[in-house]
Amino acid sequence: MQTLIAAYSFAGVGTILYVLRLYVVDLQLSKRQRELDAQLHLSEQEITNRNAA
Amino acid sequence: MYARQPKTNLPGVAFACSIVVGLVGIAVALVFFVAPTEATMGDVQRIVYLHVAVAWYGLLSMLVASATGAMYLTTRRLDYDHWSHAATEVGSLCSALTLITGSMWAHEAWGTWWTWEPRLTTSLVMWMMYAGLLLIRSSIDDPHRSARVCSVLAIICVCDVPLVLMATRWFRGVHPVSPEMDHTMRVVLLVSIVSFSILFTFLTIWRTRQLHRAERIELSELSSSLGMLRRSVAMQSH
Repeated sequence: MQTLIAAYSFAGVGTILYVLRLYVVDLQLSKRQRELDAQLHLSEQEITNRNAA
Repeated sequence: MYARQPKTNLPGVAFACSIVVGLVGIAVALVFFVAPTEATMGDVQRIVYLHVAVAWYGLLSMLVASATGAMYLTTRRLDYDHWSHAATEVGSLCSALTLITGSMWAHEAWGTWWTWEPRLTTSLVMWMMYAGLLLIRSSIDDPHRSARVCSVLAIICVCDVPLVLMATRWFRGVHPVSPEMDHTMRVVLLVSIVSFSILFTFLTIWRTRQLHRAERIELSELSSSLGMLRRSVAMQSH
């Protein structure tokens, strides 16, 4: 029984670790996306200011 | 120029994740509480339901990686390489789990963790191929160059799939060919294979979408930096 539980635990832990990795990558991508959006917002403002000047 | 990218669909992923976890939970419950205990090996035989499911998906992933690799070589579209990359990652996980669960089963059935038996050896070679593909991917920066090399290697590596499948028939070994099972055992095995396949397919799709998204963000970052550079040059010339 111990071997059986160990086998299923290995599979569970391995899969959960991979899912966690995917989740962390998703969060990192979202952060990069937000930074990029902020950068775009700044450059749009810059263009508006320059046109106004 | 730069366009805003769609945000990640984390609630959607969480919803899909809960369905997949539910399916796998049902399969594991069937394995532990419904499948009858095997007369010779006892409870340890229940490892087979997991072992067969991950082994099958490990082989399928190599087929997917090589097929999408071949499609990349024909079209030169990185979308196909993202599929190949994701299949390689999930395949390496399945292949590693196959070796671990198989080794545990072997310890109980044969009294040894490992023996250089044809099925085991070809499975180990398969895992090493996955590991090699991932190492090569991480060592080449240029996405098209890395895709080209890995596609060719995946097509070569797929030759191990028939060897793993037929090792028990072509060569003399101790690995069971297709053990006798009663009807309930067969149904539970089928449910287990389907549930785990859905889980690993979900992971492959999730990873592929991530790779698409990462590529789009990288392109946007590049185009945004180019735009900033152009503007600063224009301002300096004024």
